[in-house]
Amino acid sequence: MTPKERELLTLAIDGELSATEARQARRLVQNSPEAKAFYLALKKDSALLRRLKTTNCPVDLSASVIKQITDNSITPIPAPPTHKRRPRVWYPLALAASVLLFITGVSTLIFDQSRTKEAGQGEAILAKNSITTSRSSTKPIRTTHDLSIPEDIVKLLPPTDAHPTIPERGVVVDQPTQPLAVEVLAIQPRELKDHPLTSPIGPEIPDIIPVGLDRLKLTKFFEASQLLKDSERAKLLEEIKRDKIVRLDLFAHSTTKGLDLLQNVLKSQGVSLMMDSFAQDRLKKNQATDILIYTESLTAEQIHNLILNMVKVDSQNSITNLDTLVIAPFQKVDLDKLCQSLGVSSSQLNLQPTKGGTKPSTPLGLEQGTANSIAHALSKSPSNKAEPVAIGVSYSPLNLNARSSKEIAVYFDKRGERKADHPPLMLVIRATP
Amino acid sequence: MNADDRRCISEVLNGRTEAFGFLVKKYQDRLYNAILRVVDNREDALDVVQESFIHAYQSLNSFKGDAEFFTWLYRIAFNAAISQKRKRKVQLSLDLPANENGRSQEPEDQSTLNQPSDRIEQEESDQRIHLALSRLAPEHRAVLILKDLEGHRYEEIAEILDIPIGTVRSRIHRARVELREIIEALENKQ
Repeated sequence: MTPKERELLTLAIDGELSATEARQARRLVQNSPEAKAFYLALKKDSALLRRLKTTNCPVDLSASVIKQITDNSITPIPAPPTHKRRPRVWYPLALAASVLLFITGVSTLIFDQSRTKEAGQGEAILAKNSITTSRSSTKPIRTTHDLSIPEDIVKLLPPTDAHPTIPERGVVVDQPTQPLAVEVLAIQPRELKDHPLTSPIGPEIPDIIPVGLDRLKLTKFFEASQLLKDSERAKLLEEIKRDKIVRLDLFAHSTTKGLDLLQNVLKSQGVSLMMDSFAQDRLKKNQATDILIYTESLTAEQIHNLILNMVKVDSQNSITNLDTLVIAPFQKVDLDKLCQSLGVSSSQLNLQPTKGGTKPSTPLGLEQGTANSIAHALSKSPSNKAEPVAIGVSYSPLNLNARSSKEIAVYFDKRGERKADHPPLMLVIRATP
Repeated sequence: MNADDRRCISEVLNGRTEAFGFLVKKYQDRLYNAILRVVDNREDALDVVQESFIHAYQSLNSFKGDAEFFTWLYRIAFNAAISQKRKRKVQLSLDLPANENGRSQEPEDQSTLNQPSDRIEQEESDQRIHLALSRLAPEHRAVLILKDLEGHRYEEIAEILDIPIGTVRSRIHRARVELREIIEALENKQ
């Protein structure tokens, strides 16, 4: 029995196992007589411990404790002053009031503006119609107003007895006039042309574009232990082939073990895995971290083989480490996370395959801003020859040093141009919850 | 936190020292039983428990009330017991001193001889487990007592001993394996 298996059985005694661990423990006890004997012995010890007689305190300590306290004048030591800020009640109130004030102000302003605009429109319409009224009076909705001319304007007008003179006709004498009437138009109702609600149903209705269900990509879950079955293997390959950028999440009980396994399998496939120093540090310190692996050196079939080989090797252990594989469509958020983890922009990452031309190589040294690195980067000729490499980084928001990571810079130096049949692979090894 | 405990603590902090007597009475048996298994000596256990109560009384102002009072009290008592046990290092139990065969030298209670054989066997196994427990390191003993005798969960043990839960797991594992080895050795000697 390995120490890990022994620990698993100890935890089983205490009932502190997760569902997966409990399954493993059960399997272990069923398959190994040694494990079964060990488990039963531990269980017996635990039962014996529980059965030990309880011993009550031989004397009542309350009196002696109180006596000691009073005799020695012991008092509770005042707690050290805590610099606890008083909750400032007026903060939220002031904030709420200012928000309210702002909303009121803005809405008043908008209301005023809209009113002014409407009034302006109304006046424009009024002016326009007052001109057209004399020419045409066929508009359907009209109201009549008696408009008398203000006195101050009357003063400016020529005297009423002065008759205008037209050269050809001589003096024009006014005809008896009707009271001056101006017709004001109300706003005309809008005319809706070609609106789907008002226009008749005709052949113009656009065709409904059928949803291509076969083109929809959903997240798929594969239990690691089931992946060795032919049907599951075929499904997995089909899923991988459907993606232009492959996004996998591999859940393992121990990310460190999962990474070791991946490294070995990648090596057997001729791909060397470079690990970022930050991720290495975290793994060494045994700090819980998920690991992101990125490579452009594998075809869809090779990715498929990579996963299957990992599962195969893992299944040879009595306690398997790999749990579930998740294939999800590659989203914008994944791209952001990938760029953040690798410390590059999406243009630098350049996920599009090159067609004959060379991929613009942007060495990461440029990001550091030092003259030497810029000179180095500029003097360096872009390497077109792709090496089968993969990079592993910590998939953690704490990973802020990706831009200055030497390993990532070396990776981007070595990766060269990507072939069209080598989809980028973003694989995250995660710890099972 | 328990309402009675809360009321008692507030009374004590308001100057009514006698209210602390209620807390002592309430927890003394449970605490004594657990501490006795750690220090393996009645006098030492009494001393540790009494000192723990006085220490708790003195530090009552720093008890925040976000955990159970007895959890806090256990933390004080177990830390005191473990440090006392460390000081004394390998000290033979006065209650159950073992001879070279690992058997108790304490005079046997004659009444047990009249009991059926299974009763005697049970007492023998109790003594064996007690002896094995007393041979464990104090840290290992403490976690086993808290787990098996007191029935605490790993999280509670971590809180009482103020250690990470991972440490609790590994300590309990090592304690169980060590206990098994000691018991096997004792059984082989017989």
